[in-house]
Amino acid sequence: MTDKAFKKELLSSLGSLRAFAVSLSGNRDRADDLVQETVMKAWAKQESFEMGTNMKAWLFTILRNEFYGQMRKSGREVSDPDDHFTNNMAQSPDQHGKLDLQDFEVALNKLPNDQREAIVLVGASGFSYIEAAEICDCAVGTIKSRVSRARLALQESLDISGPSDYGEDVISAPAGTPPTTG
Amino acid sequence: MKNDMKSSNQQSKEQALITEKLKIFYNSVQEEAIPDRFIQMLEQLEKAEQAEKQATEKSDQENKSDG
Repeated sequence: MTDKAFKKELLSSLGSLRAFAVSLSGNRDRADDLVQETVMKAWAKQESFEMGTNMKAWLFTILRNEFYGQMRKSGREVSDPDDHFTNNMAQSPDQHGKLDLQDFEVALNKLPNDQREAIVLVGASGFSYIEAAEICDCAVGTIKSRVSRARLALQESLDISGPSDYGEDVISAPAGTPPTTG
Repeated sequence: MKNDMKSSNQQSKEQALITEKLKIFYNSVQEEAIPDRFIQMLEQLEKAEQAEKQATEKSDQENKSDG
């Protein structure tokens, strides 16, 4: 593969790679750092890329390894939904339906990493269960069960903060408030 | 579990909604403009590699003319 062809294919995968990075890290700044590292690494080892294989899957694998590598280094096991939320508030606030989307993003970030990556790879990045299993270095059955657990968890999570209750809701009283009976 | 009480029809409707939302979220990020720094970085990497190649070729030629 020539440098030009490699670069062209890399460029065409950048948008999706970045969306995966944002989904994984829950933070656009961190996601951009991850993408940058991935591009550098991919470039440095472009000779190990086998022509005719899926470059997008290859890049996603590099980015995923980078993400978990960084996490091991920093000892940060859990992503921080609040950190993530404030970081994304600046993005086009007037856009219609943005609030709904932010709710979803917050819910997505509450998922454990393994479930989140599984549902994103299969449900949004367009990978098959088999490809996702290769990217995550696990069995296909594991990916399947992670995806279904992620779906159920999102469903639960979005039910609670559904689109109809933007205002004060009566059901979820502040924690610690005793029930007003009698 | 709460979900057990819902009909399977309702379940699959909710699942479809989750998938749809996930796609909307993902596509919205994917369609954001690629930060310039990535484009610039790729160009720099390409230039650096070209320069390296030229340098290698040059030194190869020099080696040949030396020998």
